[in-house]
Amino acid sequence: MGESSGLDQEETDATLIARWHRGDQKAAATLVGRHAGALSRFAAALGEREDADEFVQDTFVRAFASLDSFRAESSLRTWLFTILRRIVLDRKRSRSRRPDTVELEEGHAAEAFDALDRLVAEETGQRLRHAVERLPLLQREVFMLRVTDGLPYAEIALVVGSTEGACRVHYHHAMRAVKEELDDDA
Amino acid sequence: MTMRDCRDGAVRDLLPDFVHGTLAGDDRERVGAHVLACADCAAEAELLRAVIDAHPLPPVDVSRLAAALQVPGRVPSFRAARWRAAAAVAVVVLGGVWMAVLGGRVPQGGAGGRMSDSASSGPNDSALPAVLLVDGERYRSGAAVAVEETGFGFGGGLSDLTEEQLAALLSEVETLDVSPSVEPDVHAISSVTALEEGTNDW
Repeated sequence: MGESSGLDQEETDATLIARWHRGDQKAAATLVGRHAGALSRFAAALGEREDADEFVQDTFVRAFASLDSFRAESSLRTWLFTILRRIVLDRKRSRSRRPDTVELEEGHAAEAFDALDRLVAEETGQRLRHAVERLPLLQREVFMLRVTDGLPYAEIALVVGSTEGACRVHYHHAMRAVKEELDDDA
Repeated sequence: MTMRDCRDGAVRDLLPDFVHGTLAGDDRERVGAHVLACADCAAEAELLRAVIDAHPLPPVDVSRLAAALQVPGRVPSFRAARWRAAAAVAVVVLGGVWMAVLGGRVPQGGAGGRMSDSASSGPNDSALPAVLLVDGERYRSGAAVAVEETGFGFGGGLSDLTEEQLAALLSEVETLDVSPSVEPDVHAISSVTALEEGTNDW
Protein backbone atom coordinates (compact mmCIF):
# COMPACT_ATOMS: atom_id res chain seq x y z
CA MET A 1 0.00 0.00 0.00
CA GLY A 2 2.96 2.33 -0.46
CA GLU A 3 4.08 2.56 3.17
CA SER A 4 7.26 0.84 4.31
CA SER A 5 7.22 -2.07 6.72
CA GLY A 6 7.05 -1.32 10.41
CA LEU A 7 10.47 -2.72 11.27
CA ASP A 8 12.35 -0.86 8.51
CA GLN A 9 10.53 2.35 9.32
CA GLU A 10 11.38 2.08 13.02
CA GLU A 11 15.06 1.68 12.32
CA THR A 12 15.07 4.59 9.91
CA ASP A 13 13.06 6.78 12.30
CA ALA A 14 15.65 6.10 14.98
CA THR A 15 18.45 7.14 12.65
CA LEU A 16 16.66 10.35 11.74
CA ILE A 17 16.01 11.14 15.40
CA ALA A 18 19.71 10.69 16.16
CA ARG A 19 20.62 13.02 13.28
CA TRP A 20 18.12 15.60 14.48
CA HIS A 21 19.68 15.49 17.95
CA ARG A 22 22.96 16.42 16.30
CA GLY A 23 21.32 19.48 14.75
CA ASP A 24 20.28 18.08 11.36
CA GLN A 25 17.14 20.06 10.57
CA LYS A 26 16.58 18.08 7.37
CA ALA A 27 16.11 14.97 9.48
CA ALA A 28 13.22 16.72 11.23
CA ALA A 29 11.65 17.63 7.89
CA THR A 30 11.95 14.01 6.74
CA LEU A 31 10.27 12.73 9.88
CA VAL A 32 7.51 15.30 9.50
CA GLY A 33 6.96 14.38 5.88
CA ARG A 34 6.81 10.71 6.75
CA HIS A 35 4.19 10.95 9.50
CA ALA A 36 2.22 14.19 9.00
CA GLY A 37 -0.27 12.75 6.51
CA ALA A 38 -1.20 9.83 8.73
CA LEU A 39 -1.60 12.18 11.69
CA SER A 40 -3.83 14.48 9.68
CA ARG A 41 -5.97 11.55 8.57
CA PHE A 42 -6.26 10.35 12.18
CA ALA A 43 -7.25 13.83 13.34
CA ALA A 44 -10.05 13.75 10.76
CA ALA A 45 -11.12 10.33 12.03
CA LEU A 46 -11.38 11.88 15.49
CA GLY A 47 -13.81 14.42 14.07
CA GLU A 48 -11.32 17.29 13.68
CA ARG A 49 -11.00 17.50 9.92
CA GLU A 50 -11.17 21.32 9.83
CA ASP A 51 -8.48 21.87 12.48
CA ALA A 52 -6.35 18.88 11.51
CA ASP A 53 -3.38 21.06 10.44
CA GLU A 54 -3.30 22.81 13.78
CA PHE A 55 -3.45 19.53 15.70
CA VAL A 56 -0.71 18.01 13.58
CA GLN A 57 1.55 21.00 14.18
CA ASP A 58 0.91 20.90 17.93
CA THR A 59 1.70 17.21 17.91
CA PHE A 60 5.06 17.65 16.22
CA VAL A 61 6.06 20.60 18.39
CA ARG A 62 5.32 18.65 21.57
CA ALA A 63 6.89 15.47 20.25
CA PHE A 64 10.15 17.09 19.17
CA ALA A 65 10.36 19.03 22.44
CA SER A 66 10.28 15.74 24.33
CA LEU A 67 11.99 13.33 21.96
CA ASP A 68 14.34 12.42 24.80
CA SER A 69 11.41 10.75 26.54
CA PHE A 70 10.57 8.58 23.51
CA ARG A 71 11.76 5.15 24.57
CA ALA A 72 11.00 3.31 21.30
CA GLU A 73 8.84 0.79 23.14
CA SER A 74 6.32 1.46 20.38
CA SER A 75 6.85 2.82 16.89
CA LEU A 76 7.39 6.55 16.52
CA ARG A 77 4.12 6.82 14.62
CA THR A 78 2.22 5.14 17.44
CA TRP A 79 3.76 7.62 19.87
CA LEU A 80 2.76 10.51 17.61
CA PHE A 81 -0.80 9.15 17.33
CA THR A 82 -0.96 8.98 21.13
CA ILE A 83 0.14 12.59 21.50
CA LEU A 84 -2.29 13.82 18.86
CA ARG A 85 -5.18 11.90 20.38
CA ARG A 86 -4.45 13.42 23.78
CA ILE A 87 -4.37 16.93 22.30
CA VAL A 88 -7.65 16.42 20.45
CA LEU A 89 -9.45 14.96 23.47
CA ASP A 90 -8.15 17.80 25.70
CA ARG A 91 -9.51 20.30 23.20
CA LYS A 92 -12.87 18.51 23.09
CA ARG A 93 -13.05 18.56 26.90
CA SER A 94 -12.24 22.26 27.10
CA ARG A 95 -14.87 23.00 24.46
CA SER A 96 -17.48 21.08 26.43
CA ARG A 97 -16.77 23.28 29.49
CA ARG A 98 -17.63 26.47 27.64
CA PRO A 99 -21.37 27.10 28.11
CA ASP A 100 -21.67 29.25 25.02
CA THR A 101 -20.51 26.56 22.61
CA VAL A 102 -22.60 23.71 21.36
CA GLU A 103 -20.68 20.51 21.74
CA LEU A 104 -21.33 18.18 18.86
CA GLU A 105 -22.03 14.74 20.22
CA GLU A 106 -20.70 11.78 18.35
CA GLY A 107 -23.75 11.29 16.19
CA HIS A 108 -24.64 14.88 15.29
CA ALA A 109 -22.10 15.46 12.54
CA ALA A 110 -22.97 12.13 10.97
CA GLU A 111 -26.70 12.94 11.05
CA ALA A 112 -26.07 16.25 9.29
CA PHE A 113 -24.05 14.44 6.69
CA ASP A 114 -26.80 11.88 6.41
CA ALA A 115 -29.52 14.46 5.75
CA LEU A 116 -27.54 16.37 3.13
CA ASP A 117 -25.60 13.68 1.43
CA ARG A 118 -27.54 10.41 1.53
CA LEU A 119 -29.67 11.55 -1.40
CA VAL A 120 -26.65 12.16 -3.57
CA ALA A 121 -24.14 9.67 -2.11
CA GLU A 122 -23.64 7.19 -4.93
CA GLU A 123 -19.91 6.64 -5.04
CA THR A 124 -18.46 3.87 -2.89
CA GLY A 125 -15.92 6.20 -1.35
CA GLN A 126 -18.59 8.58 -0.08
CA ARG A 127 -20.67 5.67 1.23
CA LEU A 128 -17.68 4.25 3.03
CA ARG A 129 -16.69 7.57 4.60
CA HIS A 130 -20.27 8.02 5.72
CA ALA A 131 -20.34 4.53 7.21
CA VAL A 132 -17.09 5.12 9.13
CA GLU A 133 -18.20 8.53 10.39
CA ARG A 134 -21.34 6.96 11.87
CA LEU A 135 -19.26 4.64 14.06
CA PRO A 136 -18.95 5.43 17.79
CA LEU A 137 -15.71 7.35 18.44
CA LEU A 138 -13.65 4.52 19.96
CA GLN A 139 -14.72 2.01 17.31
CA ARG A 140 -13.91 4.57 14.63
CA GLU A 141 -10.45 5.20 16.09
CA VAL A 142 -9.61 1.50 16.32
CA PHE A 143 -11.05 0.75 12.89
CA MET A 144 -9.13 3.53 11.17
CA LEU A 145 -5.84 2.78 12.93
CA ARG A 146 -6.17 -0.88 11.97
CA VAL A 147 -7.44 -0.49 8.42
CA THR A 148 -5.84 2.69 7.04
CA ASP A 149 -2.62 2.64 9.09
CA GLY A 150 -2.20 -1.11 9.54
CA LEU A 151 -1.27 -0.76 13.20
CA PRO A 152 -1.17 -4.02 15.18
CA TYR A 153 -3.67 -4.33 18.02
CA ALA A 154 -0.94 -3.97 20.65
CA GLU A 155 0.02 -0.52 19.33
CA ILE A 156 -3.62 0.52 18.85
CA ALA A 157 -4.17 -0.35 22.51
CA LEU A 158 -1.33 2.03 23.46
CA VAL A 159 -2.83 4.84 21.42
CA VAL A 160 -6.38 4.57 22.73
CA GLY A 161 -5.47 3.53 26.25
CA SER A 162 -7.14 0.13 26.13
CA THR A 163 -6.15 -3.51 25.89
CA GLU A 164 -5.27 -5.59 22.87
CA GLY A 165 -8.27 -7.86 23.36
CA ALA A 166 -10.70 -4.95 23.72
CA CYS A 167 -9.31 -3.33 20.58
CA ARG A 168 -9.82 -6.56 18.65
CA VAL A 169 -13.46 -6.60 19.77
CA HIS A 170 -13.95 -2.92 18.85
CA TYR A 171 -12.52 -3.59 15.38
CA HIS A 172 -14.80 -6.50 14.62
CA HIS A 173 -17.87 -4.60 15.89
CA ALA A 174 -16.87 -1.69 13.66
CA MET A 175 -16.40 -3.96 10.65
CA ARG A 176 -19.84 -5.49 11.26
CA ALA A 177 -21.43 -2.01 11.50
CA VAL A 178 -19.75 -0.83 8.28
CA LYS A 179 -20.92 -3.94 6.42
CA GLU A 180 -24.49 -3.43 7.65
CA GLU A 181 -24.38 0.24 6.64
CA LEU A 182 -23.31 -0.71 3.13
CA ASP A 183 -25.94 -3.41 2.97
CA ASP A 184 -28.59 -0.87 4.00
CA ASP A 185 -27.43 1.48 1.26
CA ALA A 186 -27.49 -1.21 -1.38
CA MET B 1 -26.85 -9.07 -0.41
CA THR B 2 -25.62 -9.12 3.18
CA MET B 3 -21.85 -9.28 3.59
CA ARG B 4 -21.07 -12.23 5.83
CA ASP B 5 -18.20 -12.80 8.23
CA CYS B 6 -15.92 -15.76 7.62
CA ARG B 7 -15.80 -18.13 10.60
CA ASP B 8 -11.99 -18.24 10.55
CA GLY B 9 -11.33 -15.44 13.02
CA ALA B 10 -7.56 -15.91 12.87
CA VAL B 11 -7.53 -15.20 9.14
CA ARG B 12 -9.93 -12.27 9.46
CA ASP B 13 -7.60 -10.80 12.09
CA LEU B 14 -4.77 -10.80 9.56
CA LEU B 15 -6.71 -9.39 6.59
CA PRO B 16 -5.67 -5.74 7.20
CA ASP B 17 -2.01 -6.84 7.31
CA PHE B 18 -2.52 -8.90 4.17
CA VAL B 19 -4.02 -5.90 2.37
CA HIS B 20 -1.16 -3.65 3.55
CA GLY B 21 1.37 -6.22 2.34
CA THR B 22 3.04 -6.50 5.73
CA LEU B 23 2.49 -10.21 6.26
CA ALA B 24 5.58 -12.32 5.82
CA GLY B 25 6.44 -15.93 5.16
CA ASP B 26 3.93 -18.61 6.11
CA ASP B 27 1.22 -16.14 7.19
CA ARG B 28 1.25 -14.41 3.82
CA GLU B 29 0.94 -17.69 1.94
CA ARG B 30 -1.73 -19.11 4.25
CA VAL B 31 -3.93 -15.99 4.21
CA GLY B 32 -3.40 -15.49 0.49
CA ALA B 33 -4.52 -19.04 -0.22
CA HIS B 34 -7.55 -18.65 2.06
CA VAL B 35 -8.67 -15.38 0.42
CA LEU B 36 -8.53 -17.08 -2.97
CA ALA B 37 -10.80 -19.86 -1.69
CA CYS B 38 -13.17 -17.89 0.60
CA ALA B 39 -15.71 -15.49 -0.96
CA ASP B 40 -16.45 -13.82 2.40
CA CYS B 41 -12.77 -13.06 3.07
CA ALA B 42 -12.25 -11.94 -0.51
CA ALA B 43 -15.16 -9.51 -0.13
CA GLU B 44 -13.83 -8.27 3.21
CA ALA B 45 -10.33 -7.76 1.76
CA GLU B 46 -11.89 -5.78 -1.08
CA LEU B 47 -13.86 -3.71 1.45
CA LEU B 48 -10.65 -2.96 3.36
CA ARG B 49 -8.96 -1.75 0.16
CA ALA B 50 -11.96 0.46 -0.57
CA VAL B 51 -11.84 1.99 2.94
CA ILE B 52 -8.14 2.75 2.48
CA ASP B 53 -8.80 4.34 -0.93
CA ALA B 54 -11.66 6.38 0.54
CA HIS B 55 -9.32 7.87 3.17
CA PRO B 56 -6.18 8.99 1.31
CA LEU B 57 -3.39 10.82 3.11
CA PRO B 58 -4.28 14.52 3.07
CA PRO B 59 -1.69 16.98 1.72
CA VAL B 60 0.47 18.64 4.38
CA ASP B 61 2.81 21.65 4.36
CA VAL B 62 5.98 19.92 5.54
CA SER B 63 8.12 23.07 5.37
CA ARG B 64 5.78 25.00 7.62
CA LEU B 65 5.54 22.15 10.11
CA ALA B 66 9.30 21.58 10.21
CA ALA B 67 10.01 25.32 10.61
CA ALA B 68 8.03 25.35 13.85
CA LEU B 69 10.30 22.77 15.47
CA GLN B 70 13.01 23.76 17.95
CA VAL B 71 16.51 23.09 16.65
CA PRO B 72 18.57 21.16 19.16
CA GLY B 73 21.74 22.90 20.40
CA ARG B 74 20.21 26.36 20.76
CA VAL B 75 19.41 25.70 24.40
CA PRO B 76 22.30 26.61 26.73
CA SER B 77 24.39 23.51 27.11
CA PHE B 78 24.74 21.78 30.42
CA ARG B 79 28.53 21.90 30.02
CA ALA B 80 28.62 25.70 29.73
CA ALA B 81 26.26 26.08 32.68
CA ARG B 82 28.45 23.78 34.74
CA TRP B 83 31.58 25.84 33.99
CA ARG B 84 29.79 29.04 34.91
CA ALA B 85 28.57 27.55 38.17
CA ALA B 86 32.07 26.28 39.02
CA ALA B 87 33.62 29.67 38.28
CA ALA B 88 31.02 31.43 40.41
CA VAL B 89 31.67 29.08 43.33
CA ALA B 90 35.42 29.54 42.97
CA VAL B 91 35.11 33.31 43.13
CA VAL B 92 32.89 33.15 46.20
CA VAL B 93 35.24 30.72 47.95
CA LEU B 94 38.25 32.81 47.03
CA GLY B 95 36.59 35.89 48.40
CA GLY B 96 35.69 34.13 51.62
CA VAL B 97 39.20 32.78 52.15
CA TRP B 98 40.68 36.16 51.36
CA MET B 99 38.50 37.76 54.00
CA ALA B 100 39.54 35.09 56.47
CA VAL B 101 43.23 35.76 55.76
CA LEU B 102 42.82 39.46 56.31
CA GLY B 103 40.63 39.16 59.37
CA GLY B 104 42.22 40.64 62.46
CA ARG B 105 45.22 42.24 60.71
CA VAL B 106 45.62 46.04 60.89
CA PRO B 107 48.09 48.39 59.25
CA GLN B 108 51.42 48.78 61.16
CA GLY B 109 53.62 51.71 60.41
CA GLY B 110 56.99 51.04 58.77
CA ALA B 111 59.10 47.95 58.55
CA GLY B 112 59.37 45.60 61.47
CA GLY B 113 55.88 46.32 62.55
CA ARG B 114 53.98 43.68 64.26
CA MET B 115 50.75 42.18 63.35
CA SER B 116 47.81 43.15 65.41
CA ASP B 117 44.72 41.21 66.05
CA SER B 118 42.70 44.34 65.98
CA ALA B 119 40.47 44.57 63.06
CA SER B 120 39.48 48.13 63.75
CA SER B 121 41.29 49.43 60.74
CA GLY B 122 41.24 46.20 58.87
CA PRO B 123 39.65 45.70 55.58
CA ASN B 124 36.03 46.36 55.11
CA ASP B 125 34.42 43.00 55.65
CA SER B 126 31.95 43.64 52.96
CA ALA B 127 34.57 44.46 50.30
CA LEU B 128 36.99 42.20 48.54
CA PRO B 129 40.33 44.04 48.76
CA ALA B 130 41.97 44.48 45.41
CA VAL B 131 45.54 45.06 46.65
CA LEU B 132 47.53 43.95 49.67
CA LEU B 133 50.72 45.50 50.94
CA VAL B 134 52.93 42.75 52.32
CA ASP B 135 56.46 43.45 53.47
CA GLY B 136 56.60 46.54 51.39
CA GLU B 137 55.51 44.69 48.30
CA ARG B 138 52.19 45.30 46.69
CA TYR B 139 50.22 42.19 45.99
CA ARG B 140 47.09 42.17 43.97
CA SER B 141 44.26 39.93 45.08
CA GLY B 142 43.76 36.63 43.40
CA ALA B 143 40.70 37.80 41.54
CA ALA B 144 42.50 40.90 40.28
CA VAL B 145 45.48 38.79 39.15
CA ALA B 146 43.17 36.43 37.33
CA VAL B 147 41.49 39.34 35.63
CA GLU B 148 44.81 40.94 34.65
CA GLU B 149 46.56 37.82 33.41
CA THR B 150 43.70 36.31 31.51
CA GLY B 151 42.96 39.59 29.84
CA PHE B 152 39.30 40.01 30.66
CA GLY B 153 37.54 41.65 33.51
CA PHE B 154 34.50 41.21 35.57
CA GLY B 155 32.84 44.28 34.17
CA GLY B 156 30.06 42.04 32.91
CA GLY B 157 28.55 38.92 34.41
CA LEU B 158 30.05 35.45 34.23
CA SER B 159 27.44 34.54 31.66
CA ASP B 160 29.18 36.92 29.24
CA LEU B 161 32.25 34.72 29.19
CA THR B 162 32.81 31.96 26.67
CA GLU B 163 33.60 28.41 27.72
CA GLU B 164 37.27 28.91 26.90
CA GLN B 165 37.45 32.09 28.99
CA LEU B 166 35.74 30.40 31.90
CA ALA B 167 38.15 27.46 31.66
CA ALA B 168 41.15 29.81 31.64
CA LEU B 169 39.78 31.74 34.61
CA LEU B 170 39.22 28.56 36.53
CA SER B 171 42.79 27.42 35.79
CA GLU B 172 44.20 30.71 37.02
CA VAL B 173 42.11 30.62 40.15
CA GLU B 174 43.18 27.08 40.90
CA THR B 175 46.91 27.97 40.68
CA LEU B 176 46.72 30.79 43.20
CA ASP B 177 47.80 30.06 46.72
CA VAL B 178 45.00 31.58 48.68
CA SER B 179 45.31 29.45 51.76
CA PRO B 180 47.16 30.95 54.69
CA SER B 181 50.11 28.91 55.93
CA VAL B 182 49.52 27.02 59.13
CA GLU B 183 52.47 28.78 60.73
CA PRO B 184 52.36 32.42 59.59
CA ASP B 185 55.80 33.85 59.16
CA VAL B 186 55.53 36.96 61.30
CA HIS B 187 59.03 38.13 60.37
CA ALA B 188 58.35 38.15 56.65
CA ILE B 189 55.14 40.02 57.05
CA SER B 190 56.18 43.33 58.52
CA SER B 191 53.13 45.16 57.55
CA VAL B 192 49.95 44.20 55.90
CA THR B 193 47.87 46.95 54.58
CA ALA B 194 44.64 46.57 52.74
CA LEU B 195 44.33 49.25 50.17
CA GLU B 196 40.85 50.14 49.11
CA GLU B 197 39.90 52.45 46.40
CA GLY B 198 40.66 56.00 47.35
CA THR B 199 42.23 55.14 50.65
CA ASN B 200 45.72 54.02 49.69
CA ASP B 201 48.55 55.64 51.65
CA TRP B 202 51.66 54.70 49.74
